[in-house]
Amino acid sequence: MTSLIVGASAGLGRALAESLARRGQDLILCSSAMEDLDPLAQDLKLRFGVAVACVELDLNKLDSRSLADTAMHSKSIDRVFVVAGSSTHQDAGPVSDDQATQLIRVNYEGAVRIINFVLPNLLEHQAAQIVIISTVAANRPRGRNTVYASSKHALEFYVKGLRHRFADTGLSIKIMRVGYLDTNMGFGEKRPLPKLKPDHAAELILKSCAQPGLVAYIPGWWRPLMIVHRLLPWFIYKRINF
Amino acid sequence: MKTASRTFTTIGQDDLARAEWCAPDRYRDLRASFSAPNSIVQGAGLSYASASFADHSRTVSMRHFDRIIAAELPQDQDWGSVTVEAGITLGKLYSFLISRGYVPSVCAGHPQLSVGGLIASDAHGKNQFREGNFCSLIEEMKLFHPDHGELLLSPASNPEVFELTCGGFGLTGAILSAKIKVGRIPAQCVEQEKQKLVGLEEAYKLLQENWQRADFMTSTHDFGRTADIPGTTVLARFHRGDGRKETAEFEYPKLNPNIEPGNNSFVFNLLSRFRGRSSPANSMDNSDPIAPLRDYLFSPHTDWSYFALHKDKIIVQHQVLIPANAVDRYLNDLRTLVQQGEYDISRTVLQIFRGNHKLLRFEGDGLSISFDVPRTPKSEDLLKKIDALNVAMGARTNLIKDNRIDQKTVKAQYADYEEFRERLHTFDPNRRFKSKLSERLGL
Repeated sequence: MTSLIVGASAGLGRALAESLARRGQDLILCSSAMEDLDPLAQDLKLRFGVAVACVELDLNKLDSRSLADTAMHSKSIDRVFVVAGSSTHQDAGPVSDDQATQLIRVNYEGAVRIINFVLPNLLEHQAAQIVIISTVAANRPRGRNTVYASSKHALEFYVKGLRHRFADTGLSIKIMRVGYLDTNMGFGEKRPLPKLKPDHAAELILKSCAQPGLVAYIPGWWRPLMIVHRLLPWFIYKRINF
Repeated sequence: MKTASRTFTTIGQDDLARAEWCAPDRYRDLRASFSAPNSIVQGAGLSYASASFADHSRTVSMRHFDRIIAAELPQDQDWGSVTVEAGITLGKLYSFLISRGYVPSVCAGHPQLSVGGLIASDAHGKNQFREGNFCSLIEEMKLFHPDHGELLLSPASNPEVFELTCGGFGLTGAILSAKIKVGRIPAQCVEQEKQKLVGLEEAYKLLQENWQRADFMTSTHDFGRTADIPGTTVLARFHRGDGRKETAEFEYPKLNPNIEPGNNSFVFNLLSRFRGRSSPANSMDNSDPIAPLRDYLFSPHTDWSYFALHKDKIIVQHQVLIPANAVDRYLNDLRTLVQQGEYDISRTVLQIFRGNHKLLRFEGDGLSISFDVPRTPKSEDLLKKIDALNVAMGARTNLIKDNRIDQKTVKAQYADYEEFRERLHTFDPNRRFKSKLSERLGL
């Protein structure tokens, strides 16, 4: 089995790469920073004896060359993890045009283009899987992380469409709505609920990949919270500041 | 680059600092994190000395830079090499190497320590008399300094900075990676020959007589509570007759360097207790002379009960290297000092040391004696007297362990103090890398 991880150089993507390598799976790692990918690839090859290829890919500046590089490896891919994401603490009202563009490109546009690009090869496999790393912030619109959450929500919408289109094939779709993670994206920020270590989250994600169902919450206790969150009446919801 | 503010302390909990910290996970962020006027790198953050923090400074954690970059481990030769990022723990490196028949030839006592930290402190293991200190294994390393960029250091390339960085307390910059010489081992178990004895002199005699036939050797004593100082000397050799192999990854109870004094007692010890019970380190039967290598190398420090025992105490670890020609007189005077009062001294360990001394490194020919003592006014008084004894006898304190020793005493003990300081200031006139340790020692 060969997995493509988009956004593999750090945080959850890196943890997923290690968890998959530990299971003996070959990997194609994508990131905008080759100086971070190279040591990771070497480490995984040496420790777990798996084949690892690296592709330089910046979802914010996706070009034909990086897509072609990905294509070079995509024949063998039977699972894609789209982990890359971008957020900013300024995303609570109007953000600058540059920031809005970057958030949409990384979280939605780039992700869609990559999936779209490797899709024909995935469909050639009897069993293939697309796993997108979404967020609990995409559960219901709120006044913070607005562009981030909406672009992740849009990505969910896109893969749900693929699920419908290819329902009669071996392609499965998984949406992982991940809660607070102990990564550099939220470094030093206090959260009302516990943060999950990326390696623990990666293990939960891989377990969820093998289970039925479209949407999984990582960790699972977010699901009841998110149901309550979604059902809160507007006159209460609008007063909550979180 | 996101940063946060937090309180730092030592593993002995005898010092505090409020500082900014960050834990970059990408190289571009790592480089950017040294833009602060003063910063210092943190490996495991488990030092007894305040080597990885200073007030109003920035501590940069290397914990995410822990990958193995290259390995040459021939099965038909005695030595190989690995190139690793500096944040890798000794435990992770050990796990990788042991299954391939190799180990780092110098293993300091805790598997959570980082390779960068071992270089910066020029750490030693239970076989110092045979393999020397950790820096003797370093073939080359990469160092980042915001004013110099990335430097390749080795005995041939930038040898001055290489020498300064080995045992340089992280003051020359951030060690990014290192190529380490590793030794092929004949077996993955050790056979221990234990001998109970009485008195430090007796132990020294036994160590002297036997070091040439040992792969590892220490003598542990109950010092300060009884007049006769009973102890056990353990002489360990690789046990070639045992074909046991370590296959599973090395799991051990993790120490949390982020605990602040006063907040750790209950949770810390409870966690340590439960984690420790299931750890292989504690499955070792002390009566069994044959022990898996990792249990032998790391067991005293992965034992939860030691930390549980000292849950509310501020600990000083004092380690001193006594020149061979002064050992008998030193031990006699030390015993007299300690037995004048009742001190709660624990973990007294004797080791034979061999090698040449340079700069501020803890190495040379002689006997090393280390012990832990709760930091109280009474013990402070004892330690001051021991400082004077050390100066009088030409003994040197391990600066990465003793967190109270002052600049004047260090100058008196280390002949190369001024040379180290001058060379450091020549390399880095702006002195970008600072810690409480460097401030205390006037570096």
